[in-house]
Amino acid sequence: MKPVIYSLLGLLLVASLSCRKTYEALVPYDFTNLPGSGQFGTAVRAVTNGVYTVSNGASEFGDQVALKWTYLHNGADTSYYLSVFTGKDAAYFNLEGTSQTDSLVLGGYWRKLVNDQIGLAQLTLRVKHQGKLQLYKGQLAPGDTMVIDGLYGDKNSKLSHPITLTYNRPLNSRPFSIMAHRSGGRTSDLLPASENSVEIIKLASRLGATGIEVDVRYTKDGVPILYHDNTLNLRLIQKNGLMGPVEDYTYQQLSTFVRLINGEKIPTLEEALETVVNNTALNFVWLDTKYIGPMDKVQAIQQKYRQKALQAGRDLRIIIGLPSTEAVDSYKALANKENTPILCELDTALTRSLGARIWAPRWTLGPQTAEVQAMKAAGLTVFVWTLDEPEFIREFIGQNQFDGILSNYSPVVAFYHYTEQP
Amino acid sequence: MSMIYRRLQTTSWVVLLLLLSLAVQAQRPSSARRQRRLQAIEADTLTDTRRGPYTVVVTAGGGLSYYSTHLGVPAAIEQTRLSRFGTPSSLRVMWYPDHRLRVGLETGWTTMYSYRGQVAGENTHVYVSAVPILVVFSMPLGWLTGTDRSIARRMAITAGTGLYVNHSRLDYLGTVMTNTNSLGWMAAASYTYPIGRRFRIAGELKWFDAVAVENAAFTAELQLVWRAFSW
Amino acid sequence: MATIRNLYTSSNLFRQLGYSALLIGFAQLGMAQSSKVWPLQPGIYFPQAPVPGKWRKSVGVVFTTTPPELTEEIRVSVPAIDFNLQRGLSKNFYLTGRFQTQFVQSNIGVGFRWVKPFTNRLFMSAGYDITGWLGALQIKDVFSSQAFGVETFPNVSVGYKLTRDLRFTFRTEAIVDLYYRSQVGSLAVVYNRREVNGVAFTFMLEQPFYHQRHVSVGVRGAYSNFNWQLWSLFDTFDRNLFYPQLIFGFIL
Repeated sequence: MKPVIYSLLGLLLVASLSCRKTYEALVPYDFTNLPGSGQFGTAVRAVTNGVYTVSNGASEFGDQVALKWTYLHNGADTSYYLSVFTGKDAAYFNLEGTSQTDSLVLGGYWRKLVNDQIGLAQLTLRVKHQGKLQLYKGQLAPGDTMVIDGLYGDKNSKLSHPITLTYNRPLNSRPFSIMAHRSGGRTSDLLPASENSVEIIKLASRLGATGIEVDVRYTKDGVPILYHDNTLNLRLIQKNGLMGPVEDYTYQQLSTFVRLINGEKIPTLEEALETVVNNTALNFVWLDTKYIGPMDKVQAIQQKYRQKALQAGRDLRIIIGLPSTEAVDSYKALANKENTPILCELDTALTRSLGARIWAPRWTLGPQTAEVQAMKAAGLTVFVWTLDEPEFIREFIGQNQFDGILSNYSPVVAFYHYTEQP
Repeated sequence: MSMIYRRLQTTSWVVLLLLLSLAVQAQRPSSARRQRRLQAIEADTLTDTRRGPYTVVVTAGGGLSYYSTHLGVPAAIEQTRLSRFGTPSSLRVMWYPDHRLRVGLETGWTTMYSYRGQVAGENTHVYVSAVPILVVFSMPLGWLTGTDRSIARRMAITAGTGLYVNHSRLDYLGTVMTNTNSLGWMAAASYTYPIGRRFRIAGELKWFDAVAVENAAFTAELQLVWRAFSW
Repeated sequence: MATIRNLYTSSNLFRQLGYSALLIGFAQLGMAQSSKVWPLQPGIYFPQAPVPGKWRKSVGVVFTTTPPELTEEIRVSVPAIDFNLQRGLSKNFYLTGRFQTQFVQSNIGVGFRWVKPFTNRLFMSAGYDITGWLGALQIKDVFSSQAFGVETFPNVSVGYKLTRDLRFTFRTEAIVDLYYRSQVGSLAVVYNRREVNGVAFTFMLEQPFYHQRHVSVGVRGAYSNFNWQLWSLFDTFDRNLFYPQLIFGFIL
């Protein structure tokens, strides 16, 4: 009987080892969001933007990273954040200047989007001057090299692992659109804000995006809102008993009963664009047409916020995306198509016939070199969507054909774009 | 999250009970009667060319259900009154071939949960129910050729998978009724008692689980079992 | 609360099932075991070799439920046609072959099992399977993609004859990736690395169904980082996802 017992015990062991994790990635750092740049003035931010070589920490984050400052307006105030984009496991850092006065210190967290790894990070700005490492005080003499070093932790530990970044070259300056899918990224990537929420729009720049794609639907009473799926479901919202098409509910009903998975309200399209114009540095909004029916209300909002952006001196393009023949029909039915820029996801002939300025094929069709070159020769901009596989992102950027990539992994697109060498 | 775990634990225990019932069935004492029956079975296995009878059995029942997983009531609702109980009904059509395993379809209707309350003085009511449409497999715990006096012969385990049509009704500034389909499964254990040549009554404990919408209910039903026809 | 709420089936379930299997095993230990060898019954999963030189085969269907992390609100159970073929080489050693297809994507595997009978009821086998999968999608304005890969599955099965004709099998498999290549248009990505991709557990009952026709009915839960059936979604998660399967096969 012993073999029986041993085999059953082995069975039990194997079964017990089949632990299924509950994935979550809670941000371990509380951002102070202090207004103003503090010690990190314009000049400091300018010299810290760049491609850096990683020495300590390369096994975790790859051998080079891209550092880029972004900002967020809040009324008259502006907060600044430093992002680090890496080429490994879609990892990124979000950092802000701390109030330490004796040195320039950044605090924040790092995260790997492909899994749930997350941890604290604290970095100090230094300079290598005549071969000696010293604290950076805001001055960079010719021949000096910026070195940013410090510590990072993991889920279970405080800051414990060293990381050292040494300035290598400036960021690639070729114009390129890095567009974040679903207003910033997917809920399933365990981001700190829900997809298609106002909160994730505010995060998008820090995730590497220069623009966002938002999913537009109508409520039963005709209010354009941001929501991706056909139905209210537990992937996107907290459990409340409500199911079925979002279009079956009035805005008031949704506003009272429905909260997105991280507790946010479903935003109206106007709230979303208000945020883009007033709070962010984003320069592109792609309104994905998820509804079937008249487009006039969305057109009116698009034009209203185009005017608001112009008045605010913002370089912001708000484009209506046409992903289907139904959406094309809705566009064709508009009484007046002036100042209504569109992006077409369908074939090249239809794109040209509609007078669209942007063509956006699926990435799963491949690079389509001939078609892309023909469209670009005709003066069109060409984007590709929704590309998340890091190796293919690298290859598409390496092809140097497209004007932008829509991705759930905007930190990865940012890394490969900014580190690309002409 | 703790509610999810509680529900998972309940689910696991249902499966555990089903498997244990197999073990109980397997360890019945090897009495002389049992031995005689085994010999009889041995004689008619692979070389047995007898066929049938095949029977179509219809089962209908109703009872009480309890919503057994986490639920969410929006924070905006005041004076909330919650109900996890319902009165389910079910209809099952099974094919009983000439061996232990039976297969069929099950449908019915089960209340999942409902809640009432107020938002800024306005009455609200949310009601969630489900219609399962499942392919089910069932096995009596005793061998078919046993007698109705055998306890194990009267007990059966049933498991199925398929679709749940989840119905949601919202009453708040108007009424919204929607249906959403969800994959799901069920598991049940029953005891059947003969009351006539073609009729039985049965008691069944059942776990309904509509996975995608995270609706799950534990039900206890009294059922009428009708051997509709045989061939 | 950045939490995936839909991680539904969990370790707890597997753990309870492990306990159940253990309890069943212990329940049997107290039983008087007949020394008589029971006749071989048709079976594909039960760890007992076919008669040397004889074939054993089955045809059926496998339904795989897609994980919400990949297919999001579209939760479906995708069917695949499933063929099994086995040949006994010796009393306790046999070869296995399996072909699963959904027409646009298919998987073929070969392997072997070495069987160790402990009693006339309890059997165990150790096996090794290697599979190759291939998928190709050409859909206007949507796909111009193909992919193929090689995976291997070291496995252990424990089988118990609950009655003379009702057999229960529990199989544990490790899923190991050997090769992956996908292509979109003219661009290709290759991952040529050997790494454990996940584990799978199968619970299977085999018994006569009608007349003399035997069937396999069971469930398999794969908890893995990659599943060949969903290659076209280009999963980027470095996380094990749960792929429950319902298996039904007629043993021919």
